[in-house]
Amino acid sequence: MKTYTFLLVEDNEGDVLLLSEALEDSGIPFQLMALQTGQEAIDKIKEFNQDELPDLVILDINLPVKNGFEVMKEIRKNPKTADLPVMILSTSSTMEDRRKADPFQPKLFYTKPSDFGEFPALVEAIFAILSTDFEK
Amino acid sequence: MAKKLMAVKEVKQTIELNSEFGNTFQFAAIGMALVNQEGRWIAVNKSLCKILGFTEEELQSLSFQDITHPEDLEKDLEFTSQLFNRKIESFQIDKRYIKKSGEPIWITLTGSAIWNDDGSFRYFIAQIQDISLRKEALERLADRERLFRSIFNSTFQFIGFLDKNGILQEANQTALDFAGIKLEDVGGKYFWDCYWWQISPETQQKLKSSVARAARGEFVAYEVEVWGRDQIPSTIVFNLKPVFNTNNQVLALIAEGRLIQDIVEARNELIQKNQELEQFTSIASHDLREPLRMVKSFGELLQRNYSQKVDEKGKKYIELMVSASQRMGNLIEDLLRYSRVGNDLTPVEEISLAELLGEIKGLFAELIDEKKARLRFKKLPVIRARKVPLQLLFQNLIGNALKYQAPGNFPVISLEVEDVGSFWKFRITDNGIGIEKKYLEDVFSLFKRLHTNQEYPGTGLGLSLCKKIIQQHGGNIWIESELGKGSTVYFTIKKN
Repeated sequence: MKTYTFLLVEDNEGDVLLLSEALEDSGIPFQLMALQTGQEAIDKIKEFNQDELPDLVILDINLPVKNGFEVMKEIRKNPKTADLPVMILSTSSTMEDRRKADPFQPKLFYTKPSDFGEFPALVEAIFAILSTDFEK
Repeated sequence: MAKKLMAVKEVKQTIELNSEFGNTFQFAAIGMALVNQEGRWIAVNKSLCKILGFTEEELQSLSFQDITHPEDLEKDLEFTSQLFNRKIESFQIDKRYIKKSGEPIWITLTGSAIWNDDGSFRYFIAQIQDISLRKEALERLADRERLFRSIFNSTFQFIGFLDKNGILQEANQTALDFAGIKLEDVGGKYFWDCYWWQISPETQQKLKSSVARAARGEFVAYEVEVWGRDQIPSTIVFNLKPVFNTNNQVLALIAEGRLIQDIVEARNELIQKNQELEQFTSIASHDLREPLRMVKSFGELLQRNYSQKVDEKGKKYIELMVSASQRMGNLIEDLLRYSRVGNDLTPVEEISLAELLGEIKGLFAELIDEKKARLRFKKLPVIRARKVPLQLLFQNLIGNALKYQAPGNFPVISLEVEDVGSFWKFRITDNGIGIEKKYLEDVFSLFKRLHTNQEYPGTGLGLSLCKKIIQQHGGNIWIESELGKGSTVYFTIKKN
């Protein structure tokens, strides 16, 4: 079975823990790298070789120093990562934020679950993105 | 003395000789007299006696100087002297005599002179017309004018008159003082060129077109910022009212303004405070969600993964923590919803209430089934309202009617709508537990709860939210209830 790799950019340690807990519950093998700031994420992505790129970048919007939009912008600018799948995972659900994200073509804009009971649905959505026939 | 008697005799003879003139003199409707060089009355007719209240003999012992009002004597003497010196042929003045009763009387005096063949002075002819009635009428008119002018000038409102071309004829003292100007500064100018309106070309342009509308017979009113003293802007409510003549043509325009700067400032402050408050509620509840998500989620994880590792007491603690965090979550959601009413941009649209209530019935399907509830909706109209708030409203009210029921009771809920002119009036009746009279007002307050969460869970925001929604729709909401029998919620929604 393929081991999926995720880059999670999230400053809330609790969310990192909850997501990895939920991913574990799914039984699908995965590797999760978590970074806390937008700048760290930008630097890290630059460092990656083509074959080291994650299968999916999971981005929060409200991040310290550089926010999620800026991270996406950097990812799209770099030819190496221009087509890298990205999803937004944020507490925000406003139309304004969705519109702001649109130009960077995230695979999904997902509002953070309000309790742990809703995490399985998130995990399902994540794997749905990674399945080959996913259409945005 | 002898000379004077001679003169009188002479005159009488003259009048008698010329009997036609004599008759005219005696019976003329106006007062007539012949007066000698010193001013003594030589001959007077009946009308004059009547005007002055003296007898003929009494008058003949007096001079015109004796009975002329002291303030009017000088000008009379001046004219008489000019007449005597043949500088003028006649004169006419309004003056006062003092009647026998001591009262002054206004008359018009026409004076001329008769000359002898040798060119020497013979006598003055005085024609005296009683104008006291006219004078009184004029005085009354002047009094009224003074009265109206004092009202005009002392009112708190700004008032002005324009001709139908928009030229300012008059402005009251209040309007002038407000700007620190004089009537000379603005009278005769186009109203829009006057000081108050020079605040901006747009303001002037709008006034100009408003004057044109008013001149066509329209009543025009709007709020506008104008210049007060030292070019300080102030907001006024302004209107232009056409005045019509009997042929329904516009004669003139009345311009009126009232300062509402205080109201405008208070209103702006209120709007700002409200916005701040709503923002605060929204931000606060939004930011509260974050930590709560953690408490809830890790509580659930504790419950799921670590139940075996704690004792019964520990399990109970975790359970209480999780249920408290869930309740807090509900509170935050309701608070957010509450703060959003009025901020939302959902448009007013045609809503079929039958459809809407159908959806809400679906939402509660499980509960309705479980409680064996009956919901009766009578003839539901299509109304104009905002859809999302309206859904929330019915969801809350129907939800309450289902929830606040004695255990084992089968809920019966009915909804009626009545067309009452400019409003729709709604009535939702249930057979629930009811509300004590003293709490009927309180239930609309934020966070007000009448029951424990064990009896009936809730956040205490439902009816506050309903009230806010109803207010947003220009209506009213109130409850009638009898404890143990049920409640009826009434509310109105303005048609528009």
